[in-house]
Amino acid sequence: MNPNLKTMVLGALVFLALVRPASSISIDLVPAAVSSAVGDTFSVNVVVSGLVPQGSPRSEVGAFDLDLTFNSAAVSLVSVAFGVLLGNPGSGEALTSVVPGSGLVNFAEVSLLPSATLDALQPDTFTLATLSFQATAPGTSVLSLSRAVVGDGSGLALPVASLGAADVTASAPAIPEPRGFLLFVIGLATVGAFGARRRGVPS
Amino acid sequence: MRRAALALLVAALALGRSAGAAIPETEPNGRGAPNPIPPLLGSFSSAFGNGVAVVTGDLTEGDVDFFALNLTAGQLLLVALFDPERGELNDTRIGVFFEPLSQNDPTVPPVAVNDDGGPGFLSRLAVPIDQTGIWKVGVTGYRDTLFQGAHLEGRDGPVHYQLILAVATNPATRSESQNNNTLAQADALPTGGAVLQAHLQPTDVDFFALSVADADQLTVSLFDLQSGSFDSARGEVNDTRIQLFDGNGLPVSGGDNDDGGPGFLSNLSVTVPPGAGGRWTIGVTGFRDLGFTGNHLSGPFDYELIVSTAAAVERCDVNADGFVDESDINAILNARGQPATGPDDPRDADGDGQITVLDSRACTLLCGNPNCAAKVTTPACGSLGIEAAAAIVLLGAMRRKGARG
Repeated sequence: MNPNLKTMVLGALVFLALVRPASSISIDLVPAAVSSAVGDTFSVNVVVSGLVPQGSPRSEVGAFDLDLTFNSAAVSLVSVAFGVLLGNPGSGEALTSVVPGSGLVNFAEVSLLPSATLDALQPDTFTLATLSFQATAPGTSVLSLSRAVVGDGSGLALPVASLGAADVTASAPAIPEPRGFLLFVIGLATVGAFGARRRGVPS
Repeated sequence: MRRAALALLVAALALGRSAGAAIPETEPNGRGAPNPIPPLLGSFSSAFGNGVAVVTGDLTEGDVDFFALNLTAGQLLLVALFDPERGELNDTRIGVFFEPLSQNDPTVPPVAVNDDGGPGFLSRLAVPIDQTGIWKVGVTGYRDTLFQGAHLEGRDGPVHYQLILAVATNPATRSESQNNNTLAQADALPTGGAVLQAHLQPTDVDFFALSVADADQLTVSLFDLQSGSFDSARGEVNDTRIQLFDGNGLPVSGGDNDDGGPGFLSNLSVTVPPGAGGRWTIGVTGFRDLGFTGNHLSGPFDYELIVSTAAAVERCDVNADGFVDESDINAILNARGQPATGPDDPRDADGDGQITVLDSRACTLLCGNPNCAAKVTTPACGSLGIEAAAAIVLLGAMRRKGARG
């Protein structure tokens, strides 16, 4: 190979090795459509994807701060459960914060684990948190991620390409039909009552 | 020389006694589009009356930082880079460029660059200013010869650096009395720092005094330059030692340096411990003179001494207990969304003026224990004694009550 060409190729390889690709991540709500009866609870997962695959250089999530909006007339927040791939919050490996509001919940997590541990721990796509809601009135509602700050292991912002949403349809609860057993008991009581009357009243 | 020393003392009094705040960098301040024009630091003749400015910045992987100065032909620009947190292991490069302020052309070559001229792998250089106009100082990582971000420094966490920028006449004004051979006869320097020229010869020791406050970060850089030239007078063969002495005239722990670089010259950076602020003295002597009594044969040569003090920002130590742990990270996490109270806000680790979850993560890299576990404090024996005494008193009272009953 021409020495100059060889130098250029080597230089390009070194450059590519040194320059970190700018990765864009996405944050979605899974499932994207939920049907629930009024009074029932349902859950949506907040899933990050698009992380640079494991190896070097790669991107890992070291912290996130998300806002999720919802129609408070139709659904209410029950709980926020954080995943364990930024570390287990219950074991002192991550710190979490949840700030509920009217039609809005802000939830954030920061990992206390080293970047290398996060690298090894996290796949390219994983669940950041699971939010549980209760349907409170019939109708439709949109759960929507309205703001996201996501940082890598060094605390540098990871560009977020898209934020997801989920459609929720809440239906009125079905009117329960009388159960067979209840009918049986009522029937038995009626027959017993008639029998007692017949025995107790002289003809 | 006495007149010069007197003038320096008057200047010291005129400048007041408080250390200046460091100038935080403003991101993005990289090279070439789409980076904005780098911020223009104030004029050295007015904003930095003593000729020294301290800039604090964060270098992260792929990051390049540029700072602009308006300089005059005939001046001497001295640049020294320190890393007060991680010592000398970070590998930086600095470059000096001459380019109009509005131009941010990545193809403009540097006038001067330096790789490892400072302590360890850190950088420093001196540039004679031969044209009046805007000069830019770039900070990047090892291997990034084009100052375009092709480096991995800061991959494991931001490099929090101090960039000392000093501007003097070329050569710097000789500001040493030559009667400053003892601690008591030290020449007074302005609070906040100074750039000056002094002379060292065999058996000579130079002392310079200045006022420092608790938690100030004090840097001392010694250059050996040929007058009017970028080259060193004798290369880097002159061998110096520097030592800091506290208000009681005692050597400051960790306040000494022999060959902090380049060559055999000296460099150091020290944070003033709590309660140790006051009148400190900088001693400059030659190799082997461990007692700073003049027992050396270095010189004769002229040297440039750059001294800077800046109020230290204890990044991430929100509760100011001298230790970054889970409680600090939690405080930052819970303050997310708030504006920083100023450049010294310890919660604003990235210096963007806002407290965000990114600050909390960046601060985990400064935790003193794995997983940011809380600092373990061993209870003092005295407290155990109090508890034991309380138990004895209680038992005694119970026994007395029992006897009466």
